[in-house]
Amino acid sequence: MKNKDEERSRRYPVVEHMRWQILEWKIQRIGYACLFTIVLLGACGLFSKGVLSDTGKATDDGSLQVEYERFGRLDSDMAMTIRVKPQQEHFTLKISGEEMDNFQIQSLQPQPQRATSSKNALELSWDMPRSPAGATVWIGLQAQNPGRYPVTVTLDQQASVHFTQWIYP
Amino acid sequence: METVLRATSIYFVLMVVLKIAGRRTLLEMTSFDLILLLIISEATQQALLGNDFSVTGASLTIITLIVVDILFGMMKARFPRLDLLINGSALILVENGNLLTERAQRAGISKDDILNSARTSAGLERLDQIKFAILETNGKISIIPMK
Repeated sequence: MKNKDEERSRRYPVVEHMRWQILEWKIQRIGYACLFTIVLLGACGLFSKGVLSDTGKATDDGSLQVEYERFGRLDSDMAMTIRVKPQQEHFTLKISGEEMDNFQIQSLQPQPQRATSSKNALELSWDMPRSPAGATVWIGLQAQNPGRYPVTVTLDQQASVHFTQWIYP
Repeated sequence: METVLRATSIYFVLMVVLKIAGRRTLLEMTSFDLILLLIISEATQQALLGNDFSVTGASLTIITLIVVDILFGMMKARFPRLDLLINGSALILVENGNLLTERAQRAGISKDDILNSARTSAGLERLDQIKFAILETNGKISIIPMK
């Protein structure tokens, strides 16, 4: 503030605290910047569902592709798409990691022929006619706890993809 | 535990955001502001209670919010500086008929806002009839007329 007289605290008719008032205005300025940044980042998907969040990973030979969200939110739905190029008439997917404790599977399309579990891993098997385009599995998940969760998806006990997901509270 | 954490964090988020938004937002409540307030409460409600429809959950949330508020009030009474930082202090905008331009600008209050308050609360027409115009901590402008 350039005007020194305006910066002076008056004592009548009310007691002013100009030093605090100026500090408050400064903090408010910084606050504006923070809020704008949050909105921009939110629009870009830093808080799940957006360009920054959608990502994918594939094995080197391309036999297994996983599309997932880098960021998820507690109690909200999250999609994961697994694309496989199966060599045989059937294939097995194994999803392991702490993921399975933390996530509720809301939907699983198509339904697997067999679902078993070993230790902390979920094993799902499908029988499918051989198709050059391969097959796709869609999974809808809902996170139950916040935090960082490593996930591993394995195809037919061979090719596997590792990634981590961050769940916001 | 989760309910308590949810309520506490929402309390602080709302306090910080409304503090940043400034007193100007509280000054005049237009019908749009009222609707905005309703939408904000609707958005908050989900995060506060989640999927919990129980009476216990709702009671716990309400009690937590009020306890946090009481604790905050006690802290403010104990540390006056905290009160200053959170509630701010009253700010004089017009002194003996002169508008303190830079203050008004930084507080986001225009000359028209002050004249508006002067008309509605004191029945005054011009700036030079105002002895003091004070922006109170609740966002209202008090007008003290010249004798």
